[in-house]
Amino acid sequence: MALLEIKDLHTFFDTKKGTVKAVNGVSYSVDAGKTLGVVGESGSGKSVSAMSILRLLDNNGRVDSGEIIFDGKNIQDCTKKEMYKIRGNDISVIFQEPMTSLNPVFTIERQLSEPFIIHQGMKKKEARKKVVEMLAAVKIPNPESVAKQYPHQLSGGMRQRVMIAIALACQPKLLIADEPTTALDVTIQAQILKLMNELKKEKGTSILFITHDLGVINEMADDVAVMYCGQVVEMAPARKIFTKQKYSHPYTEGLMESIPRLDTPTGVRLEAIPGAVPHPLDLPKGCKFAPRCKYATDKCREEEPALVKIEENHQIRCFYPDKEMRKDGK
Amino acid sequence: MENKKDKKVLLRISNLKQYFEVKKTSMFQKEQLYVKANDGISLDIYEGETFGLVGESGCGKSTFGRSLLQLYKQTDGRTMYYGRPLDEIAPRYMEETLKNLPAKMKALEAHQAKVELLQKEYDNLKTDEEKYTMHGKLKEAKKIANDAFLDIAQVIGGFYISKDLGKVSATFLKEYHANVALCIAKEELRKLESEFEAIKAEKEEKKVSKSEIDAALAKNKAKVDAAKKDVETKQEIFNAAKQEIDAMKKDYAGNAEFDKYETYLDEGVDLARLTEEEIRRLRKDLQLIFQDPYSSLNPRMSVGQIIGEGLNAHKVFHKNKDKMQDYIMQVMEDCGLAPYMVHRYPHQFSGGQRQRIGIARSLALKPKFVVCDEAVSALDVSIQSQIINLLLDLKEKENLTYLFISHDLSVIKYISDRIGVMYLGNMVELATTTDLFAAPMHPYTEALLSAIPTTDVDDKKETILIEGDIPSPIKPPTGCKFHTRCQYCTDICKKVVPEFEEVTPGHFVACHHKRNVVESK
Amino acid sequence: MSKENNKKSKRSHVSLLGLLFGNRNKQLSFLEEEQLQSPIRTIIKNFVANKVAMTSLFMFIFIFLGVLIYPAVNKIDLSYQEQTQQNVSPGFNMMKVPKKLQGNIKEISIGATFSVGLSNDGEVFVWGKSKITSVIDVKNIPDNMGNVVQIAAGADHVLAMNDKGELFAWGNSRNKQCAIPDNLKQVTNIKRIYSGYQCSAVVTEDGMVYFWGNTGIMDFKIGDYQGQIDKIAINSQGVLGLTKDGQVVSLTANELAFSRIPEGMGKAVDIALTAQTGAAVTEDGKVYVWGNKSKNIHDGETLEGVVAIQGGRFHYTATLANGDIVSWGQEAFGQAKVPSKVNKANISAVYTGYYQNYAITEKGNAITWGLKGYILGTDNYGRDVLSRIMHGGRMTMSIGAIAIIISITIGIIVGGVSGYFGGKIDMILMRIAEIVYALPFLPFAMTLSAIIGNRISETQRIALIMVILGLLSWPGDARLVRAQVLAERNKEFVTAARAVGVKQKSIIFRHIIPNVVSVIIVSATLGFASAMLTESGLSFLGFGVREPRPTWGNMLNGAQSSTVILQYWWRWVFPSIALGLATISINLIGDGLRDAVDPKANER
Repeated sequence: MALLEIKDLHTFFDTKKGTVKAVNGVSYSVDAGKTLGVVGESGSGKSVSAMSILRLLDNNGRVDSGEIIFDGKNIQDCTKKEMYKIRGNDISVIFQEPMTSLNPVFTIERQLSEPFIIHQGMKKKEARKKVVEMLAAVKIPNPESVAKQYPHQLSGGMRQRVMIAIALACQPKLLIADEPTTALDVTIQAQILKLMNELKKEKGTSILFITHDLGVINEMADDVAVMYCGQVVEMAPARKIFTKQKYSHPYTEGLMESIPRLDTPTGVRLEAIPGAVPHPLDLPKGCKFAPRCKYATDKCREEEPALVKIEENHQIRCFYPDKEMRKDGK
Repeated sequence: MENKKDKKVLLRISNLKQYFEVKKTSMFQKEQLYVKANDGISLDIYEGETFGLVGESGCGKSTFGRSLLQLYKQTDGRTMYYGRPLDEIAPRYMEETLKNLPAKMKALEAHQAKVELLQKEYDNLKTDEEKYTMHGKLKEAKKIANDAFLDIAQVIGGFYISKDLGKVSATFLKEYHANVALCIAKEELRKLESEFEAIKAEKEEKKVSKSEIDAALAKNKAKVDAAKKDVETKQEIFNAAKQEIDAMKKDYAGNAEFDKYETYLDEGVDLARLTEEEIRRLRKDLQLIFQDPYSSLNPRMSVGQIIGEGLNAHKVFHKNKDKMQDYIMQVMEDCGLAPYMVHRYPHQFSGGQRQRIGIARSLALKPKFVVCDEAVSALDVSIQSQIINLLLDLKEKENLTYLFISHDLSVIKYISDRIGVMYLGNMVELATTTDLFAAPMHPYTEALLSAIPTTDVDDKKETILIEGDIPSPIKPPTGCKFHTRCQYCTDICKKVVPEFEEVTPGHFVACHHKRNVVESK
Repeated sequence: MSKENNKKSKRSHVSLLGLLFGNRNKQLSFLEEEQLQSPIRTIIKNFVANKVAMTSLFMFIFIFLGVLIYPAVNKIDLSYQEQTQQNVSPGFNMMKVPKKLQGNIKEISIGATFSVGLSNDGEVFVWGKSKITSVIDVKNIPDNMGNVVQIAAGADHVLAMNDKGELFAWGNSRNKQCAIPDNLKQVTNIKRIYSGYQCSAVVTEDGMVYFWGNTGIMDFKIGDYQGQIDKIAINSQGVLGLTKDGQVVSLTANELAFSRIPEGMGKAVDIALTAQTGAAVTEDGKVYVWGNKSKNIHDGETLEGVVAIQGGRFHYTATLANGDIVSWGQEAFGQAKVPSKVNKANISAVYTGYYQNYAITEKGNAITWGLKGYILGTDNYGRDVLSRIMHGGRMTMSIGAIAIIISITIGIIVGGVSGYFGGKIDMILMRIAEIVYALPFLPFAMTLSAIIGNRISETQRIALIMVILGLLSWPGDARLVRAQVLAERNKEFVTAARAVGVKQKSIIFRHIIPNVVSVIIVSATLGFASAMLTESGLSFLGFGVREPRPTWGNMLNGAQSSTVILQYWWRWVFPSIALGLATISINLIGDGLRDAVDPKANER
């Protein structure tokens, strides 16, 4: 059963120069206890779609239409107060830059104990004990001394662990991780990813994992949604995305071929996707990817394809989902 | 395995150190602390290769790239550059060495005496413990003595054994001065020729008759001819000075010792000892591509101005604006930018295009060596591959040598011929790409390789997690700097700095507990 | 790359330029539009789009041009004072003859800032600036005067006589000019009544002159001429008499500019006085003018066929035998410029006084010329507030501008050196800046001005104020420049420029300075406004520029007294508005510039 379901979400930003359709009809769902990886380039709307869930948009942003069903309830109808409860309690977020989300003038202990005192009515002493437990749970060495420290005294990896501890404090059902490891080094990233996977197994938390790194998605996700220009272009279980399949979206295919990986043989030229992501105010007519797609036909440039279910658990937004067919010239 | 003898060394970096002063936290703090961003890095970079430098943030890889280019004045070490003949640059430090030859020789002797003394002391020590502490001191003294020796030998070669240093000094100085004069004359001639061509092109465009062109150019032509003659006479003087040295060499013909020292004669230029103006002129050859395509372009300058800046600084097209414009457009086209964009400003471009502008700026000077400092890290995934392809194409076309710095091992692996792995200011492992990935010898490399998330679903390799964080470079751990996070750490690691040694040909490692050594043999 | 190809691309770039500057018939989408913009154009566009800043810019340009052009056209006379025009409120009603009176005028008499009219029905009208003090208003005409037949307006009072020969006086009576002497009550044969500066007089049919009011200043002394006087003329200093046998005599004991009456004029038929001169018309129609020869007052001596003459403050108006009216003398308010329609109409009478002239047509209508009033009123010396605001604005703005130039210059040098070289130099310079910053500005400036200010000339004094302002306000600019230079110096594009081998000098000039300049411009704009305010503050307190040289600050000086604040509001409201508008508009322009220059503002 899906824990979170987004149906046909449209999130727009009103700017001086026009309306930016950051999320333009996105649907995806996160199953209970599973991880959905959302992957895409900057400006693809992957973060905005997640922030729309929690209504954490900038002032000029608004959810234009669409349903967000969390735990069987459309949270679009929730009042501000109810949302306040959902945030942090049922749904938590981890951001890319942990330093900005921690208050620099309070100790870790103070910041972490607050939700317990406020939401769960714990006493100060109890709450402090709980904080140390939590820090230990995210594998922070010397949790007692770390609890007494200020955010700037911790390293990036440590801070991200603290953020995870805060996010998991109230045992949320869903954890939204918005590029949680992008600012970290590979060795630290490996630590954090391992930790998140362990916690997921332990507590059964569902994760909505947003990243631009296909490798990280492969480590983390059960299902993958590939986004491009505010739309989901392909959605499938991770295995299907990362193994050679009969069907795929040209963008996903391009991404897989263009990024150098450890197993890319040297001397072989990378299959780069030409061009750049179009400006959000100047989106092309028809398929958004058509101008950069090597298989694009006149049809692609005129009509916009729908997200079609090609096979079980596999949806693609393309007129020519069959790899062989399109290679042969349709 | 490629034989390194086949390849020409372009840069020989030995013992490069880059320390940054840390601001004192209080008035009473006596000890001056340093961030040891680079702590003794030695490395050869061959012509035409791509050398990948990988490491985590804070390991000093970017600093190394910039110190190498002397954008930071390096604290210690030699950075010999072989891209241009020594005569063409005629660095000022040579003159200084030649002038003070006898004094320098005396200083060298003093250093050597000190080394001998320390060596004796060291040999007499009993326990390993004491030897560890003494070892550092001895190494330092040896280094100083060797540097002093090289300073002299690299300039005068076999004449190191000469008794009459005064004469050697005078003769070499004469040659040096003749050379400097020649260089100036040559540069003057080049400028005049460029100007001459510019005027000629301008007149021709206006379609004036040939006789008019000749008349207008008569004055310039005379100047060019005069300059040419000047170059010729200077060349003769220089040749004469050279012959004088050759004549002196004849005295030592067959002297084995002379021949031995003659091999020390080095055609390289020590970048670290060049003056500000000398290194500025050399920057034509040594270029840098930045990570952030936004902050590295001046928002107030158009693309044409940005690319042309270097050309103007080196007077490549002296007073020849039209030719420069054509050239800039050609470079832009080579770098995948439409030439009509020449008058646009950086903010009008996307990230990928900006990076192309940065590349065009560097390559417009036709450099020999380019440091790519995280050149693709800030770009979107689909743009990264475009830029990588561009860099590879340009390399092939212009026969460039790259130092490619990145934290992304996948990119490094794809683009590099050889890879150096850095940790906390030191090079911990250096090998060819194939060797490094097949058999990483340093535990850090091993962990780093396994930490990279891959898109291979069936790869069920066990990730080797290294615990903890990178220590502060202000107070790095003693001994092997990695020992705080290393799972194989033993007592010796905590005390002794491991030597950076060649384990198998071309594969250098600094570790007391090398991994995978057997397998790779 | 073939050469041909390059040429082609060059051409395409030319067409792009054409698109930019010329044939922009094609409607461009905003994206294309944006692509064609250079950073400077973007800044200008941002600024133009900012409505507040643009309004302020226009307002400032308006004020600036005003204070630039007005003083250039109208030179100021620093010694000018006019006691009859003190504290005149703003407005143009000085010659606005009431409608009820038009067509029915019998007589008009002109006071300093008001006029009194008498209708054929014997009704009295007062118009103009009739308010003398907060309680005295000459508009308060006494009731039951009956049928008035003669009126005479003085500087601040009016004298009237009815058909029964009764006298009435109202207005300011500080010198008893309104207290009609008892001995006059028996006199029934009054021929003519006169009002002057704080004095009143009557001349009887039998040549007697009765004089009361400010006898001290006027020093009225008739002596032997009592009983022979036909008419008299009064100005603010003295009295002139004409005897029945045509002799002009001074009726003032003091020696005045006009009391030396030239001999051999012949028989005079009419006399008149201005502030400094006397004039007489002789039997043969000639005009004689004597006294202080200035302000073209003697032009009338060439006239012929004159029958009557009247004097204003600084001009004469004469009636010729052929009925033409001629005015000459000071031209400042147009009082000597007779409208052409006057000589086209049939004029029955002309009345002149102070700065006004009324010509009454046969139908009883009045044609007027002369001073209508002051748009912004006058101050306590009778100086036009508008003119002083304009001249004062120029002074205030020049002081502000020069002060800010001094301050910015020092700021750029100190900040630039400090930021670029850093280290010890930076340390020392910044400590100096902090010391200067710590000086309490107003007390310091006041003390300096008080100590040095009294020993030097006015021009030096103004220079001193500029220098004080400049020397005390540079630390802010220096810090700003230093911070900006530091920031620019560490930017990656500067490293990039070094990496391609650009010389140190061109790095400073091409990369650092252009990026610092925008900040300096913004800071200078804002500093200009505050320098103006500081100058005004100093002058207001009396430590800046002093009277009579006007600045906006010392014009407000009067506002230190509550009388001025309550009664003469125009004396402080208008300078305050000018100063306020100028500084607010400059500040808003500065803010607008800062927003336009700041690239982050574009994203918002």
